[in-house]
Order: sequence, then C-alpha cells, then structure tokens
Amino acid sequence: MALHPNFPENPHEILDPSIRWFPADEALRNTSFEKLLPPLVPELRKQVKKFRDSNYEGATPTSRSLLNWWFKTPHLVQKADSTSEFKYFFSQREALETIIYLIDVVKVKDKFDLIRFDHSGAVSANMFDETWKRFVVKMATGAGKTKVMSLALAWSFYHKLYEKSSPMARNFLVIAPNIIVLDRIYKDFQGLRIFLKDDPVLPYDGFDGRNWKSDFQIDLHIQDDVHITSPTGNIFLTNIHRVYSGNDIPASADDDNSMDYFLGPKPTGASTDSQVDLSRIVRDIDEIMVINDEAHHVHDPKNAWFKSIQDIHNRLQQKGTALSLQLDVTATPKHSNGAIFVQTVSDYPLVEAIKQNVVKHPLVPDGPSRAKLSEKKSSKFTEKYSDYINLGVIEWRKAYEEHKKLDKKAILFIMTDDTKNCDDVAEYLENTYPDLKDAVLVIHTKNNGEISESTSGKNKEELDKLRHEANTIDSNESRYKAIISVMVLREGWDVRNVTTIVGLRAFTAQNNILPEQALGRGLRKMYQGNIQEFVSIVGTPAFMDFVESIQQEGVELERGSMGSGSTPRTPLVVEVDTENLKKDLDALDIEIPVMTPRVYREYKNLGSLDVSKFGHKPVEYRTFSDNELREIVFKDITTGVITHTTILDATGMIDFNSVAGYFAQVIMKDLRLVSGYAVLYGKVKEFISNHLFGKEIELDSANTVRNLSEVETTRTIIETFKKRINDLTVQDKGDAEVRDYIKLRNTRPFIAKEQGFIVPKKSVFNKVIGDSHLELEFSTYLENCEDVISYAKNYLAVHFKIDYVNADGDISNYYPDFFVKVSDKEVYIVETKGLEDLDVPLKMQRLKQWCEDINRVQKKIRFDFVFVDEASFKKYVPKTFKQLSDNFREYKS
Amino acid sequence: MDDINKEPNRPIERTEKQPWQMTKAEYEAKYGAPRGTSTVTGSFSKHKSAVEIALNRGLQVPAEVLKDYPDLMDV
Repeated sequence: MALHPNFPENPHEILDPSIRWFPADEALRNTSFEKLLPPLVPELRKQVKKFRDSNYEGATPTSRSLLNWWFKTPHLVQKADSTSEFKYFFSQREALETIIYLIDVVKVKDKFDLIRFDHSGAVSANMFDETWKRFVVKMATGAGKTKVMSLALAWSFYHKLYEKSSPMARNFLVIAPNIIVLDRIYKDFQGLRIFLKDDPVLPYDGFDGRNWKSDFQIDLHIQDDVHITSPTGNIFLTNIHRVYSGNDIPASADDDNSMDYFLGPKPTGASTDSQVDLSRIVRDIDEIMVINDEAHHVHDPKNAWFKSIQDIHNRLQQKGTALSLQLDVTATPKHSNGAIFVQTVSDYPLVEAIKQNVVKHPLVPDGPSRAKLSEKKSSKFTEKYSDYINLGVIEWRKAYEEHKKLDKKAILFIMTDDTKNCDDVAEYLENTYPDLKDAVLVIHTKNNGEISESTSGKNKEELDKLRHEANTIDSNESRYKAIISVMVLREGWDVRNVTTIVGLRAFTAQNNILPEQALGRGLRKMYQGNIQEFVSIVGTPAFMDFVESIQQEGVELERGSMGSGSTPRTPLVVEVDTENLKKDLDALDIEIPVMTPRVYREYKNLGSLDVSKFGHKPVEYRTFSDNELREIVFKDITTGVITHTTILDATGMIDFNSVAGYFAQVIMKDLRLVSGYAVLYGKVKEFISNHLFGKEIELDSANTVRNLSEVETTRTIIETFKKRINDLTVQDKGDAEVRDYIKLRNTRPFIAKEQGFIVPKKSVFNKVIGDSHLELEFSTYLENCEDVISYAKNYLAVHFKIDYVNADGDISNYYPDFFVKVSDKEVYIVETKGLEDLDVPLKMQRLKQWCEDINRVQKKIRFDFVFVDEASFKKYVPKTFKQLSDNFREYKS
Repeated sequence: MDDINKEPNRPIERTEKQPWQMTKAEYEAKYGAPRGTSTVTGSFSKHKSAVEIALNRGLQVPAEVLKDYPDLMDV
C-alpha cells in the first residue's frame, strides 16, 4: 500500500507513471496495478507522458501555446517587497494534458474511443451511461480542482475561437450541486478574477502571435440572472436546480438528503419568477460545454442532474450538433456500490496529495489514548459521548494555542447524528468550556430533506448570514471557534482552519458518504508552502472504523498520543521565547540597523539601450533546408528544456513577433524585471534585425527564426541583453544611511518544516533551526562561548537582508546567517559556508562594505563580520568567539 | 433577450456605451433591474459584474459608474 520510495514531495515535480500510487503491495505492481486504479488511467498516464515528452506532438497550435504558457513559462508574482514564482501543481497539469491529448490527438468522439485505453479488460460499453463525450478528473479534496476547471474552460474557449473545425465550445454551463459549492466557485469566478487577475490562465497579448487577453470576451451569468447572452462567449454558473427543465423534474435520490436548510432551497422547478429561464437558454444554445463540480452526484442515469445534461445534449443533436464535452471534477467519482466512474481519465489520489503536503495529514489517537475513551451509559447525548467531546476539545485547545501565535484560529468541527443532538452538544460546549462561550456555530439540518426555504422560517437574509458565518469562520473577525453539524457538510464547505474533527455518529453505506468526504472538511491547509500540517480526528469507535476504512485508498493514518500532556502536532513554530522566564530578553535582544540600498536598478534607463554598441561577436547567419524549417524549437540555454516551439502553418507564414516576444520575456524573467516589456521588445527586434548577425536580415522569414533557435544565437541574444541591461541599469549610490532598526524580539512567529533544532539559552528565539548541520553545530558552539552574550539565526522572518550585485551582474538579496553580540557595543555578522559558489566573494565584499557604511554613520555599536568555512571550523575548533574572529580572517583584507 | 443563435455575427456597436461604462441607473433603464432570484451570498448583479470584469481587464471605468459600487474601488 505504500507509496513508491522515489515518490517526490514536491507537488510540482513531473510524476513518472511507474512511481504512482496503487492500492496494493509493491510486489503486486506488475500484476494488479491496472485493476486497482480507474481503468483508463494507467494507460492514459503512459500515453500522456509520451505526449508531454514529445513537446505535445499532435496538439493543435492553440493547445500547444496554452500548455507551454501554463506549464513551461515562468509566472512571476509581484508582491509588496519581493517577487515569487507561481506554478501549477503537476496534478493540475496532468489533468489538462490528458483532456487535450484526448481531444486533439486521439480525437475522442464517444465512449468507444475511451474504452481502447482500458487494459484491464473489465470495461464494457454498457458502463457508460451517456452518449456524449464525458471525462472525469479525480483530484483529492483541496488539491485545486477549481484551477483545473478554469484552465479547461479557457482552453475550450480558445480552441473554438482559433482552431478551424474545433469540436469545443465558447459557452459553458458550470454546475454546482448546491448553493454553498456555488458560492465557493462564484468567489473564484466573480469578475472573472480567476482568469483576469488571480491566476495566469490567459497568456499576454502577443504570446505566440495571438491576442489572448483581448480575445477572451466572455460574459458571466449567475443562475438565471442572464438578461442577454454574449455572441462571443458565456459562462453560466449555477446550482443544478436551475438547470432542471420546466415542470418535470425526475425523482432523484439526491432529493432526499438533509442539506436543504443550510445549503439552499430544493427547487420545485425552474425559477418561477424569472422572465428568462436558464434551463431554456442553455438548451437553445448551439455549442456548450458542461463542467460539473463535485460531480460524484452525477452517478446514476436516473438522477435529475444526469437527465438535465442528457436533455441539453438531445436538443443539440436535434440541431445537428452535440454537447462538446462534459467535464466532471470530483475527489470521489464513485457509484453507490463503490465502483469508480469508468470515465475517469486523470487521478490524483489523496494518498499522493498527503505525501506532497498539498493537504493536511490525518492524525488519529494511538492505542493508549483510545483506551481511555468509553461511551457512558446515559440517555443524554453529551453525557454518553463526553469522553470523545472532551478529548476533541483538549486537542483543539492545543492546536488553538499554537496557531494563535501565527495569528491563525484553529477550528473544532463536531459531527452529530441529528439536529437535537447538535443543540445538546452546542449547549454542552458553551456551558462547559469558558473559551467556547458564544463561540459555537450550529448548522441546523434535518435528515428528511423536507425543509425548504419557504417553510423553514429562514428567509434569504438569514440563510445568507448562516452561510456567510460558516464560510468566514477562519477569519479572526469571526467569533466562532467551533462548528457543529449533522454530517451534511460533506462538500463545498471548504474552510482551511479545521484542526480537529470529532465524529459522534456512525456512517453506513446507506449514508452514501465516503470517508474522504467526512475528512475532507479538515484537509485544506492553513499555510502555504510545503509545510506538514495535521488534522486530528477523534470519535466513537463506529466513527473511527469508518474513518480507518480510508486506508483502503492507501492513506496512512498517523497515530499519536492525544489528551492532556501530549505534544500538539502542529508545524514547528519558531518565536520569541517570551514563555521562558529564565531568559532576559532585553539582554539577549540584538538591534540590527537597516540601511538604504546601495545598489538599485534605474528602470527609466531601459529606453536608452543602444543595441548598435553591444559589442558582441556576430553570429553566423545559416541557410536551413525545408525539413529543418518545419518545426522550430527553442530551448532553455542552461537546462536544454524546450521552452518555445514555432511550427510553420500550411502557407509557410511565420510570425516573428512571437519569437521576439519570447526573447523579451526570457530576459525579463531572468532579470526579474516586472515592467518595460514594450521597450525591451522593440530593442530585441532592432538588435536581431540589424546587429545580431553582423548584417541586416529579413525578420519575417522562417530561415531567420530557425537561426534564432540555435543555442549559440539564443545564448548570444539573452546573455548580451542581460549584461548590457545590468551595465546600464544597475547603479551604486556610493553611500547608504540608516533607514530603520530591527529588534529581534519584535520578530513575528513563523512556521517551519519538521526538522532538527536546538533549544538555545543565549537567543531571544525558542528554537534554532538550521539550513545545514554546520549551522546547528555553529549554534552549539556559540552557546558554549563564554564571550558571547547572545546570538540569533537570521531567519527570513527577521527581514534583514543586504542588496548586492551577483555573479551575473544582477541585483540580488543576501541573507547572512547569524548575528552575534559580544558586548553592548559590538555585534558580529557571521556567514557560515560549506561549499563556496561564485557569489560568496561578492556577498562577503558587500558585507564588508555594509559594515564600513554602518560604522561610518553611527558610533553606538560597532559592527564587524566573520566568514566561517566548514573545513577550517572543524579543523581548528576555536574555544572562544574572540579566537574565531581573530583567526577566521578570510575576506577581511 | 438577445439570442446568440439568432444573431451569430452581430457587429459590435462601437458608438454605444458598454454596460461597464453606464451608471447603474442607465444600465437598469436599458436592461432592467437585477431579477433578485440569485441565491449566491451577497446576491448577484449583472451590472456590477460587468464593472468588476472591466476593472479586472484594466479598463478605465468612469468614476460616476464606480460611485454605485464603492466596494469595487480597490479592484
């Protein structure tokens, strides 16, 4: 059941099909693998890998451009004081690659085209209920399904717009199973923000010769508030109830759940007060793609959701077309008998998501902790289950205290078996635990599903408020710390701060709920990055049996000690050690001056780049054969990875602008320039046209573009521009002044991955964690130096950095390793190093300069620096800090 | 209601104000008020949505239009 030993933790890393998880022993990998996965997935993974490795051979130019943009082009995100890079997860990439492979390369028309990917022999045509194209994407809860929906939607839109004979559509019916899921998708789609603002879904105008952003003319309609439809494209975002046609909603098992009260009304038909009926509009349109979120609901050809889609498809067929695609996304594409949807084409299981820290790790009580729990003999619900409730509160409290340090609020989620017991638990919590007084939110639901908006006594405002309170419970502005519900919050309610789940009911097959759905509400992570987080799960034996059945899906439930006295399983929190009364924080604190930057980039100078004076060695302009001109591939000059491809169309026309744009983008990315594209683009064009080859050449020629794809030419363009731009724009002010001071004891708490650390006596921080073993060794050494008053690791959270010019001539930030205070008037900044790289001398030169600058502008504290190389430190082992500073003199002169 | 099937090649009326260039009153005079049937949190308004989309596209939305939606000022 274990993951492959080579399975990577990095969720962005490309996963080879051979190391993917499968629900059997490693020994069975060669015999049972395909039978234990969605039947089409193993073969599709192999074929999609080939598709990816061939640089998307067989894809339409539109698809290839988009795939290159999404997954191969760096996306820089500018923040207040830094630039970071956004990347889609590999699971998201694989889902899109699979969809595109099936449409562009395989040209899937129906189920028979899909069945050929089944190598298990267990799939038959009868297993497909639909007669139209339907792909199911299976992704673990919290792994980013909405992003997949947005990418698939944009791809379909452009495919239809740019590709002749495209089978895709520019109208989209995006369906949620209920109002709370609709609300969640709406939050991302509102103002088309996921496309235009939040994510790099749309390439910039000019990328590969298309005006992507300008051409993305699409209108957003919510439910049946449609008014007019756009001739260029429409997104109809709705809950399924508004799609049912007219008066004949077929009976459905889904009508008999208990969500109505909280999640919104169960409609009796299409909106009666609408002049425009969404169900009619989507049936009148000539082209449409259906995207179903939480699509496990579409599990039965008899249910209303399925029949509505069937009806839309039938109407399209009457007009000679068809539904372009039904794309289903869900974490649990399973029929009520447990059989997986055969249409599943892509799979990112929960076990892989946990391993890659994309979601929280479920933690259950170990044997001794469980042995302390028992059901009491009482007819009162809270008395009967008091052990379980108390353990849940204890675990939640521990998490609450830890996360509070990071300004986050941990949430306790309790599931009961009916609404009466919900109230009982709420009352018990409020009256028993002072910290939960007025902090318990009860989501009232009934099991019979008969309560509707009109009869519940709840008007729209009240329901809105209830949903709002549940959806915003993570916020520190919300007074709620605990939420109690009958087990109906199985989807859509996707808050991040649930750290503790208490289950006080059993689940059976009749509940039609899967363990992943029960745990799903606690799986979303609180923090960004590859930090390990946990959700503690406690409950009755019946509930725990239900939860443990998730191990059949490969999920390894971690077991730990729970209750009073046990250590909380929360991320490693590094903070100022205010709880340690033995520490004199005033004495241990170190004040670090923040200087104004010496080096800076003068952006306005970019326009004065004189490409005629670059002084490069002209590149030979070669003549290529027709065969060599057919496909032109650009590769990264350092990694060799294909980054851009130009394919000649039937007319032999080539778009030089996209190539010039590509070079401008690469240069900007390497130099981390966030503006000036238009200026740089013109300069690149001028340089290539008149100077690169030592003569004037024709730009719109396939031969020119082919020459530009040669590694030597590419390198000359990129490196020459980078050097000249740095020469021109990187300036040294020649002086610096004190802008501010950092006091270490004002550092905000921060989290780190579980790793080795030491507990220091001479530091304001509670822990010293190190990037290397040398740093921990050095910390121990400082602890033992009698002449050291205090020291501290320079964590990113301290925000101390020094600007410097790196080996590429670019501006970068240098973060020294340690601060060491030897007296109130003398502080050292220490750099420890195992292996030296090209930048080390430049950093040390800059640190030396920084010390000179600060000692010139103030006399209160003298700053000095020491460079400690690992080999010398281990060889000579100084006994005092003075010995170290006297003898480690590298870079001092 | 305009139907995209009936007018697939309808040219864009360039002289006409786009919805995001109209004030709320102008928009509702032409297209009608929100139906009020939306059940998403905070309700949904086609006009407000058009303005928000325009802002996210980086278009210059007239100040008098934004006056109707102060919460969009930060967008």
